[in-house]
Amino acid sequence: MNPAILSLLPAFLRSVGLLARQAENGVKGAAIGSAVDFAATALERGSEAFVEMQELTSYLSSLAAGEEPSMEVWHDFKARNDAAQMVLGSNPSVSSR
Amino acid sequence: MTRMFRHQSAVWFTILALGILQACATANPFAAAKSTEQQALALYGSFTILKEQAAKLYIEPGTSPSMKEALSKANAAVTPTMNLMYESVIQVKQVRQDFASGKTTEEKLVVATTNLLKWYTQAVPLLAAFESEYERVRQ
Repeated sequence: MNPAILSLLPAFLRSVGLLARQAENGVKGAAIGSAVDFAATALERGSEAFVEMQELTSYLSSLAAGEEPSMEVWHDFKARNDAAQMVLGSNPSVSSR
Repeated sequence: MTRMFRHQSAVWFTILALGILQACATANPFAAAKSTEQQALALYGSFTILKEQAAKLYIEPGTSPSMKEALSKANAAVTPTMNLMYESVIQVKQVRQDFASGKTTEEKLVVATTNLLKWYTQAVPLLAAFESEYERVRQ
């Protein structure tokens, strides 16, 4: 695939994110815009993060409107969060609010 | 000939862009979330995935001390609110369970859900700021 075209895609996606923010005002519009921005970032990295975002989307899509996410899923994300915090929170010059 | 090549490139770009958009639609948890708790999971899950990316960047050999500090600061700005939102979700689940078994009132459930919505609303712009700072550091 043409590298020049591929290099344009993240910028294209970010403009889609901007449009999403404008199309849907408020918190949900901002959240959708951020997700599209993040998808662009994930694409740039060609990372597993994009696949993980797809998996999370797929899980949420599988839930009915009144069905709440399971505690296992929450606990799994919390454990991963804590593990990443061990790295990012280790900088002595930065303290949490 | 050149015009035909340009036309073909434009068609391919459009097809590719549509494909990517389709892929992004399948990677947008916020669009898939329907209830407040589902939206909260979309946010917390996205935050966790991004935070893991930031942690990976942090430990890469080429990451300078100033980049590390920027990543840590950006993380420190968003994490407390995300933690409060997580605790709020746990509380909503507990109150909902109590309500189902008649141990508490509907009013308490409404208060817990409103509290969750408050933390969610505060966390959305913080995640966007974290994402843009991560992006800035990465480039």
